Amino acid sequence: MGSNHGHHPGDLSEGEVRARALESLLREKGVIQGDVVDEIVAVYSSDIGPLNGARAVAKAWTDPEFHDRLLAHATDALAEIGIGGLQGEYMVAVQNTESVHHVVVCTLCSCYPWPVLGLPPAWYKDAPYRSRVVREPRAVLAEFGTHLEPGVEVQVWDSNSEIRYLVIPRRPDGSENLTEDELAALVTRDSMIGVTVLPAVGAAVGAA
Amino acid sequence: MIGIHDMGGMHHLGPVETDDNAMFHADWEGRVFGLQMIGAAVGDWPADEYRYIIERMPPADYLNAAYFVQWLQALEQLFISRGVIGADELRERQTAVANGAALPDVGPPDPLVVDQLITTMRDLAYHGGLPEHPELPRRYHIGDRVVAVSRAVPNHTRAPQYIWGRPGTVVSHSGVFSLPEAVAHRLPDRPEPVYGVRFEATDLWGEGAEPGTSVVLDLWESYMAPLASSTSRAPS
Repeated sequence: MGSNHGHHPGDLSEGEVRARALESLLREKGVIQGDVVDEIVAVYSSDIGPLNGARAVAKAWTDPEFHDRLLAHATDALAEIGIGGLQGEYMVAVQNTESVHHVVVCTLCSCYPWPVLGLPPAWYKDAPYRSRVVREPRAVLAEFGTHLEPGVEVQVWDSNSEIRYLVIPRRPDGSENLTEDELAALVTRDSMIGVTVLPAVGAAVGAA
Repeated sequence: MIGIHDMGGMHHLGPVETDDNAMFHADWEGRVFGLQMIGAAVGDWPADEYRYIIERMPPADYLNAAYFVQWLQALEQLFISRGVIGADELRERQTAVANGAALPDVGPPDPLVVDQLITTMRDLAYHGGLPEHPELPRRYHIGDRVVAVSRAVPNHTRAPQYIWGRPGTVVSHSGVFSLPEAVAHRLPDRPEPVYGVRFEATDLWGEGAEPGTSVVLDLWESYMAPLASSTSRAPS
């Protein structure tokens, strides 16, 4: 990052100017060297992501004792399958059921369970979600295409401490014969935040 | 502090951009994430100190800036406060970048330093960095009816406004954690029991709340008081 050519003054956004300037100074001071920034970005772009949470959910669906351990002591249960780390030192898993649906937010900033879901999507960190989901969760879920049955309770978890929440979505109908790996492939990031539910497997083509 | 960041329940902040799934909108945002990890690995600041800097951004800037500009605000101030960089030289460097001026070349990287940095950051990513606290005597128990106390203080807190003065029910004991007020301001550690406390939506938002809705937060004992009532336990 020693070079600064290839653009005209005014091309760069405020964020880009400040990011380049800070990195340039830190390199000059020797605090950053080599490819360390690229390396750690790659860890979170390619390795630590929602597949971790999906693995835990699929295992919980297929292994009742693991499911119980996940609900009782999520941090330890996740560690059993090699999941854990920064922003996930204190994990709690909450299970969606036919009577209760859980959804997670951080109204005060953007706290998110990195080890199970990777880094958050922009909408999770921005003002509209943070302000609205604690006050009108069903309306927000509807904007994600999620419509809960009448009578289903909604419980919103505001991540105001260092505890991080993972929603265990309901296992989709029609998934009874899938392997654990096939099940993991069904579990989306949004379902583990709680803004979506997982559709039934093998819905007929053309079904409404 | 009662600040713009404390936005739970606010109206009219715009639609949820449900299609905005990007982790990073541009390369520079990823680099800011990387700088934050560098800071977490080699810096000397806890998350709450970082958060408090962001909370004190001018409200219009907080709302209008790209998300990762908030992180830059904190990183710049923290690296300056720790004497790693100077405020003047940062300003000069920003001007140079904006004007397309040539930046100083740095020498070749020291492989040992690079290895050490990467090892430290990966260790942080995969193993975390928060201390455990031993158990403490608990004032509250599951089922207790409590009220969230008002925290109209100028310093950092993690009790959002929308629960102040509202009744709730203790649903779990979540462990012992350092009080953010002390962490953010580098005061002596104040570990306290933390409880999951459930607030019914009607108690938070009134009769117009979505029925069958509740919000659960993690409250330190300092954030709670017993609910003064003839009924000390939640109705079953």
